[in-house]
Amino acid sequence: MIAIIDNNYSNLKSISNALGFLNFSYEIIKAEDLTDKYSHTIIPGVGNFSKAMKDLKKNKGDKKIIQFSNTKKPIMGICLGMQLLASSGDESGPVNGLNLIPGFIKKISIDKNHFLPHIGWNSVKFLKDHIVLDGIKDEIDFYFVHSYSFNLENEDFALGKTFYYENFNSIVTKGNIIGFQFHPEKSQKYGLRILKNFCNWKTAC
Amino acid sequence: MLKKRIIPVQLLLKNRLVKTKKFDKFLDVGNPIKSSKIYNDSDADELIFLNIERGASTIDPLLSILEEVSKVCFMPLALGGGIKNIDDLKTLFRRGADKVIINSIVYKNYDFVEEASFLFGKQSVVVSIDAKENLQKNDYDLYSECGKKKEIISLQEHVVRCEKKGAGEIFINSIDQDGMMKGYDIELINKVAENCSLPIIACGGAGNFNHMKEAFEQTNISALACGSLFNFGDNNPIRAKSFLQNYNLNFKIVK
Repeated sequence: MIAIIDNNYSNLKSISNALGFLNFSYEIIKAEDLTDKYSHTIIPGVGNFSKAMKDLKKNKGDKKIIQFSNTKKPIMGICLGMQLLASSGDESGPVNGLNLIPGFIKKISIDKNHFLPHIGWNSVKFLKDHIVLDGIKDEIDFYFVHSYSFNLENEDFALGKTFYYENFNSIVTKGNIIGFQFHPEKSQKYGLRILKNFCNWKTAC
Repeated sequence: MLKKRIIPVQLLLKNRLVKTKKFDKFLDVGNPIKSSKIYNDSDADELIFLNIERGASTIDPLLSILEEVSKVCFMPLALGGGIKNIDDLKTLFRRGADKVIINSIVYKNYDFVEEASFLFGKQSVVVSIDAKENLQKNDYDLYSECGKKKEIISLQEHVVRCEKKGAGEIFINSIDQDGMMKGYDIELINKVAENCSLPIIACGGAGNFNHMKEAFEQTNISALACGSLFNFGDNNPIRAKSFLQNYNLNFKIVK
C-alpha cells in the first residue's frame, strides 16, 4: 500500500489518478497518520515551503515522515515535496525542512530574458543510473513548474540536472529517498514509467 | 533548455465542445472528452478548458470535464470560466486542475489574484485577458464576461497590476482574431510582453503553421494556444511541431 501525503492545497488527484491508472493501491493520508503499514510514501506538492513545513509540524507529521524514512522504505518527493526533503528553505523563510537530504532551497537566479516560475517542458540530464530511472532515456523532457531549486551540500546526491539560465538539480537521491523537481504525474508516458519504477522499488531488506 | 509549448484550447458550452468567431457564432465541434484523449496522444503540451457559457455562475461543467479527463490525460490541465471565489479554486485543484484561469473576477477584485497566488502558488494562477483593437485610440480595449462587458482599465495598467498581485502566467486572447484563422495579433502579444516579465500564452487567430512560426519568431512568448486550427481539418500538435522544428524552434522530446 502506497501512502500519498495530503498537504492541503496540492493537486492530489493527478498523482492518485496516475497510480490508479498503473494499478497500484494507494491511500491519501495526513503525514501524522503515516505508519509502517505502508510500503512506499509519496510527498507531492505545490505551494509555499514555509507554509507546508508549518502544516507538517503542527501535528508532528514531520517526525512521522522521518520515522518512515528510518525504516529504509522508499520515499519520493515531487516538486515542493522534494524541496521539503532539504535541510532548510528560503521561501518566506529561512525555515527548517525535513533534513533527509542535506541542502537548502533557494530561488532560481535568472536574467531579464528568463521568467519565473520556470514553467514547461525541459530536459533532464542523468548523472548516473538508478533503478527508478530504468527504461527512461537520457535528456528527454519532463514538466516543470517552480521558482525555487535544491542546492545540495554534497553533489554525490545529485542524480539529474536541468538547465534554465543555469544548471540546477532536477533529481536528487540519497539511499531510500528520491526527489523530483519536475512532475512525473504530469509528464505523460515517461512520467508514468518513473512512478511505476518507484512503486516497484524495494529498498528495505 | 526550456521548450516552447503548444496548447489546444477547448471551449465548453453546455458540456459540448464549441468554436467561436470573434467570441460569437458558436459552432458545435464535438465531445471534449474524446478530443482530449486525441490531444493526449498527439503530443499536446498542456490542455486548456474554458467554459464560455455567458453569465456562467457555476464551475460544475468544468468539474465534470475534469473528472473524466484527469483519468486519461497525464499532462497539465488548466481550466477557467465561471470562477467566483476561492472555494471554487480549492475545488478545482482538489479535483485535478493544475492551473486555474481567471478573467472577469480580476477586474472586480485584484486582491483575488494575490489571495489565489498565496494559497495555491503563483505558478497555478493564469490571468486571462480578452482584448479588442480600438482603432480610434490606436490601442486595445479590454473586455470581461466573455467579451460582453467593456472594462475601463488600459491593457498596460491591467497587465502590470496582475503581475504585481502574483499572476503566474498571462493568457492573452485577441477578440478580433478569434476563430478568423488569419494569424495571431503580434502587436497585442508584444504589448503584453513589454509590460510584464511573466510567461505568456497567446491565443486567437492561428489558421496554419506559418502563423505559429510568425508568432514564435516575432515575440517572446512561451506558448501558443490554438482552437480552430486543431478543431477543423486534420492538423494536430505533432504536425505543428514537426513543421516548426525546421525553424530552430524547440519542443519537448518524449520519445
